[in-house]
Amino acid sequence: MPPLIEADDVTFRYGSRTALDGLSFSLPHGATGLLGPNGAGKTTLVRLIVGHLPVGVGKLWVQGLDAALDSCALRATLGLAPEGDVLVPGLSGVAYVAYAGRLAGLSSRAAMDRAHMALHHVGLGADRYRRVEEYSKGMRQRLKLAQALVHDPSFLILDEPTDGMDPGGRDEMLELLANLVVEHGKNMLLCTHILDDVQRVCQRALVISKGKAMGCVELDRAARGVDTYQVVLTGAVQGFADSVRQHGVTIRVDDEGEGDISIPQGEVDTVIALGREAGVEFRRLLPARERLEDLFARLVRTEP
Amino acid sequence: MSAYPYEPLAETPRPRAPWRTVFSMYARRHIRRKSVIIVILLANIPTVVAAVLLYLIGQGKQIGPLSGSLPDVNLKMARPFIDNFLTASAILGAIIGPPAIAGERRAGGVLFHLLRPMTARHLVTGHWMAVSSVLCATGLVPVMALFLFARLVLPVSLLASLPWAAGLRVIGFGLGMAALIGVVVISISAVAGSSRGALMLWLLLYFGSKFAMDVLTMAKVGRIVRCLSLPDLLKQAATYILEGSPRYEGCGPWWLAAMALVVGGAIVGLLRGVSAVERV
Repeated sequence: MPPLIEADDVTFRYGSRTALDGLSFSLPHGATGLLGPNGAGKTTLVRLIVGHLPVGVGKLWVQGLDAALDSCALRATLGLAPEGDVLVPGLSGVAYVAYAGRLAGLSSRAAMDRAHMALHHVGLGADRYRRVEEYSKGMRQRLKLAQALVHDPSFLILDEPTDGMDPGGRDEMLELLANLVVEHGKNMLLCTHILDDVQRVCQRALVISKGKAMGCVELDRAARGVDTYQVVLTGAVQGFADSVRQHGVTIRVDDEGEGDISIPQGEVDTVIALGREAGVEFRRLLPARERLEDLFARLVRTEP
Repeated sequence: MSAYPYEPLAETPRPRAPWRTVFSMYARRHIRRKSVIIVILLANIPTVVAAVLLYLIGQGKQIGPLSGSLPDVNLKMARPFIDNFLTASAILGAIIGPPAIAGERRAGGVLFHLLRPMTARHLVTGHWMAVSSVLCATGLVPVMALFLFARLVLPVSLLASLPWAAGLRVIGFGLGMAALIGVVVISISAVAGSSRGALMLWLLLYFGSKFAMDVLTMAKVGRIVRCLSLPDLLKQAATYILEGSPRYEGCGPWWLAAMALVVGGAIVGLLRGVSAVERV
């Protein structure tokens, strides 16, 4: 299966200003948060992904499709909810979502059935016959999600989906998004400035700054019962690394024995015992529970 | 939330000719507007009157101002019909044209479409077809009905100048005028920044040019300017199509040049409109 998104040296310029500068990354399937400071190139990246901007330099594949060549075919497989309003004034909520379904290629009847279902699913069932321009900001966010879901896409791209929602509505929205990922197997790219939203919904975060990818960080280790430690090792490190990997441990150390190790919870003593057997001494073993906020700050401070 | 389960889709979506979906959606929306219905009804009162007169002529009666041979009757009815149709089309263009693209841009309606498997060309084409179909409903459908009515009601002795082939002229007139006015209106709507701006531009182009040329004609600048306003250009074209002869004598090359300018401008405007939509 091809990666969800793969970028290879993508560069994009608005006139003389470089928005993306040799951006390269590969995202596996699942939910990814797209993080970056203002002007980092997030919106440009999303517009390239959906084919609203031409990929001039570099290559960008989305679900195996070349974004430069197959933008229409690509959008048929995507559910998109941009940051601003995307309303068609004069339509009721259900007519609006059904129209989105018809444009995506559903028959009239299927589009209407799916529109009712999607609106109920996002909590707008009672308001589906109201005109869309009468909806509040929070309702418009839900409506955007419904129009993105109506044709049952495998990949959702959501830009600030909780913007303007009250705390209760935001909780419901995040729960719904997490449910779509976990229960329904949707892939998701969540662009937001709210790091907590990413932590609650996504399995990883892609951080970009100044048009470059600064790192892709796995976020679900705690959920999977894995603790990460900073380590300094001496002795036969490579042999030790090979042996602990067979126990579900992820270890990355340099030639001097410095690095990090992710160990399933409750297995630390076992790993230390394996080290003793392999003739490896733990000179340092410190928990490395970096919060996403700290990680984000560290990554965007790093010069590309 | 999630009172309903979210179920997988039973069928695979097959996006095909999305401009047709845009066309059917907006044509239905336009035709349901009260103001559009009123304009269409008012515009067709002369057509109904003409049908009654034709019926009476068919019964062998001489109708005061329309008395004479059938060619005379045709001439007397065709030109007021063209004038009525163009005025109604201008008003309808002002009602449904500006909000089509310019009016939706601010609410994000244009971006809404571009999130689907379609391009700006599909969107503009769909809107153009929707506006043109409403204009066709104003002119082509009633006059075709009138033509068929005349063919079926009038005695054969009076039908010498109304052959079946004349129906093709009527179709050409209806489609040609609706397509041309539609392309001008939609290109203005796609290029303009707002619905109000598009409305002002259309009114200026249609009624403003007529006013300016009338003033110049009164100032005795020359007879040629008489046919260079947008409504008169269209009247000249319509008369050519329906009667096969010009309405305004002596301005042929000027008319051709001005018409080429209008058609060329409309096409350029449409292409610029597509680019403007793509930039959203």
